[in-house]
Amino acid sequence: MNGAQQLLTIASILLITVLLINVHRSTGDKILTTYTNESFIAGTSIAQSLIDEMSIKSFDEQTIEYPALEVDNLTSSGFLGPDPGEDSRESFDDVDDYNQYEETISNDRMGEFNITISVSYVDRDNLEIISSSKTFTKNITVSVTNYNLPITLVVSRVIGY
Amino acid sequence: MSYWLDIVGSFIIGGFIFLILANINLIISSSSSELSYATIVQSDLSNILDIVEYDFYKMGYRISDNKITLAEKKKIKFALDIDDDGSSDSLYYYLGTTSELSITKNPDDKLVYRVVNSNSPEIIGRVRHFHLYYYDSTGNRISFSSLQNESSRRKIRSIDVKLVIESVESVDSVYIGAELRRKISPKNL
Repeated sequence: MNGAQQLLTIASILLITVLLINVHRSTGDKILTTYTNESFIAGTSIAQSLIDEMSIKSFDEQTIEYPALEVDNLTSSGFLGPDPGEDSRESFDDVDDYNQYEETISNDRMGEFNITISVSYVDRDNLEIISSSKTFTKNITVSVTNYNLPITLVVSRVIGY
Repeated sequence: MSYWLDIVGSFIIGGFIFLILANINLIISSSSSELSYATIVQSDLSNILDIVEYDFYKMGYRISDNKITLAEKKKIKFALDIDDDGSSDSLYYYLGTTSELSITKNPDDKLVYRVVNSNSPEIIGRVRHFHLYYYDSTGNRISFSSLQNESSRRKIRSIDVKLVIESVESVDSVYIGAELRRKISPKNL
């Protein structure tokens, strides 16, 4: 084998190595995409389940027994969160009890989903603006993270009284 | 001597290259099948969930009493006014058996059926698991044995749907799957 043949052989092996690496990279990317998609579906489902659960609870601690006719009757924005004695999801009785609630929910295939919920009052005329004063509308935001999710999945719903 | 070394050497290198290319071909083929099945399975999962959500959210709509008449792990029957005409309708969801899908290579897949009133069953999808779990207003799970009683069924406020779907054929002896759980809390219960 002369020098030119050796060079050609080495070049062809290099080309094939590059091809092999690219095939593996592309395959890995595709598999990762399917995991990401499944995590999005599972994560959205978890978030929607929680929002569903919250939406059948009372709007506010002050509206459980009697209706609130004035916004002043509602819980102050600084006190949104679980009330004394409410130390688990099962004991939450109104929407804002879930404020700052955190939980890890496991899925057999996609692993652990870390959930963080925030509840805030929003401006009734512009539901995207968080209000520091009391209003008859609350925004629920559920943030979901998972190993396979490239970003934090955020699902929101506004609940009115 | 050098001539023979060149021949043998080129055969060895050629053989390696051939093996590498054959391996690449296998990887691409397997990966492509896996991706296709994963896409199909995820799409099926999403479609079945859409139908289930749409119906379950309306559970008990315009019904005053006995809203859920059957609540088991793999079947549920409930009343609602599905067409909003003022008369009560019934919806029955149930899971079929594996023998109904012996045509597929997956030995565990079954069909999920949806029956409106006394109409013929409609197939809404092919799944491995379609499990239903029932919860009361405090979030506690109600046991299946107690759900035989109407009084326990009246306590149902949320239904947790577990869906697991697998591909009809395996890729490298593995069935490509997808799973989700969705807890639905119908407003009319």
